[in-house]
Amino acid sequence: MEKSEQEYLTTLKDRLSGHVSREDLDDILSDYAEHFSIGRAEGRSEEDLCRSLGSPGDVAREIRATYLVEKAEQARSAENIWHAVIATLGLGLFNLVFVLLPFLLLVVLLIIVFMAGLVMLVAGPILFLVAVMQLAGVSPVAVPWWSSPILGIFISLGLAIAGVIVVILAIHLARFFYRLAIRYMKWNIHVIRGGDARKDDEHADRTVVIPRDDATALTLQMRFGAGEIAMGEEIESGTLVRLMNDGGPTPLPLDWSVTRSGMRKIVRFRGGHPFSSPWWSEEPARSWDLHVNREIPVALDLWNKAGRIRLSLGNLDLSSLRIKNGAGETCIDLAGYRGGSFDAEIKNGVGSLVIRVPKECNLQVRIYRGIGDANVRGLIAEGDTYVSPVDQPGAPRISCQIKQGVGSISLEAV
Amino acid sequence: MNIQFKKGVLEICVLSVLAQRDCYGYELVNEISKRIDISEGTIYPLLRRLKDEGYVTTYLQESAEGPPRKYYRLTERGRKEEHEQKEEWMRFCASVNALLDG
Repeated sequence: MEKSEQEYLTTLKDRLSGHVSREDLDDILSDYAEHFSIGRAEGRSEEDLCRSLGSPGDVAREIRATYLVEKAEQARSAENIWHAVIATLGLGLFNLVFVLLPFLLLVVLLIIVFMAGLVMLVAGPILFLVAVMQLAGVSPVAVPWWSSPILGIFISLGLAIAGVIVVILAIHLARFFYRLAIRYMKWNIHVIRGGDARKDDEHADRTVVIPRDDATALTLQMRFGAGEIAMGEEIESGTLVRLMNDGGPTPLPLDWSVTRSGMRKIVRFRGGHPFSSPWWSEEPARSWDLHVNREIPVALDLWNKAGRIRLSLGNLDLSSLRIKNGAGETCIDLAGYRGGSFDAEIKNGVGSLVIRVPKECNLQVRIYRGIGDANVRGLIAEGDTYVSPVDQPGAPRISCQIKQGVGSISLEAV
Repeated sequence: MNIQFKKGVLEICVLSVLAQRDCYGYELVNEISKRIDISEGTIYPLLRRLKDEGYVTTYLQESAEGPPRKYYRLTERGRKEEHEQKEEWMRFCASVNALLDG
């Protein structure tokens, strides 16, 4: 971490230079320099100021993405949009699938359409010439696949006109896609930033509260299309599960059911299909806030197709854990876990995966790595399996399988 | 508090402080961070964005203690935006509180 003004500004400058204009860079740096100078005058240390400012890398990423998307919006060029795409990609691996792939597909499609138009445009006049010469009886080549020269003239003229239309169409399509791409990236920056406050509506905020009654165990199954899932701290002891949605202008498609099996309550949530918040609408991504009772054992089974999952489960008593995230970042924090032993299975498609496990427990973690680094700390490697350094009798056992597609894995015993 | 929450309300906090008086960056950051725990560095990019969107303007003013400081002032447009967002926020809070009080 940066400890002085000098370091902070240097990092910020490094991350920004070449990405924003000279003037803007000076302007940004002077903002932070001013911040330091006033802070110092008030008697705060540079280290303290750095700490409260937060990571300069985050600041730079945010500025870059916003800047480049705006630039691309104002001055249309292939270069600008490409830079904007790259900057948006830099905000998270999530975007690899959701920005790069559609973008490349569209570009390829546009090139094909444009080339086809061009070929027609060139071929038309040439064929026209051939047909005319044929009509005049001086056919240079023995091509004609048409039955009469007159027909040939019509076909070649038609081809040339169609060529003009296709080329014009391609240009319009390119413009349209350009605007769409800009809007798409803005939406993306929004999602990564976590949306903004401008959303509320009578329908928007929905909270589902399920009472505990006399249940002594819980199975919680959640299936979400897209959005961010985070774990909240507070819960009343009489409540089994509380799920809150932070809204969006449209009512939320959320189905849920509660069934019982003996003393176990089985709660199922299903909702937020992938396009409930389409990117072309200005609607921010949905986020879910989950609160779960800490007094009874919980079997948690969560499947999110796309988005971010951030769960701190250290306070729960788990009987099993299954988490599957299609695309997006997944962070699972089990630090301080003191509940019972359990098996866990964590699958992540595309995106980084961060798992913190409690070192007081007896851990056995098997990693099935896809593409990306695995960074393991505090555990002993035995091939692809990682175990606790010492066996601790009486401590809960956690046996975990991690399956990762594309993206880095960070596993840390804390 | 939930980090998403905080990031989301940052914009309205900035607008609302500026609606009361013009501020220089450090002052604004302080004003907000003494009530909400945020990473302060992200306020500056937000201020730039608000400036680009025409909600605030800036001017330099001499200070007794040192070099001139960059002050931020709300534009007419910014004032309108602040007003709208504030109303929305109040309604939102009222309904959440109603829910919480049950």
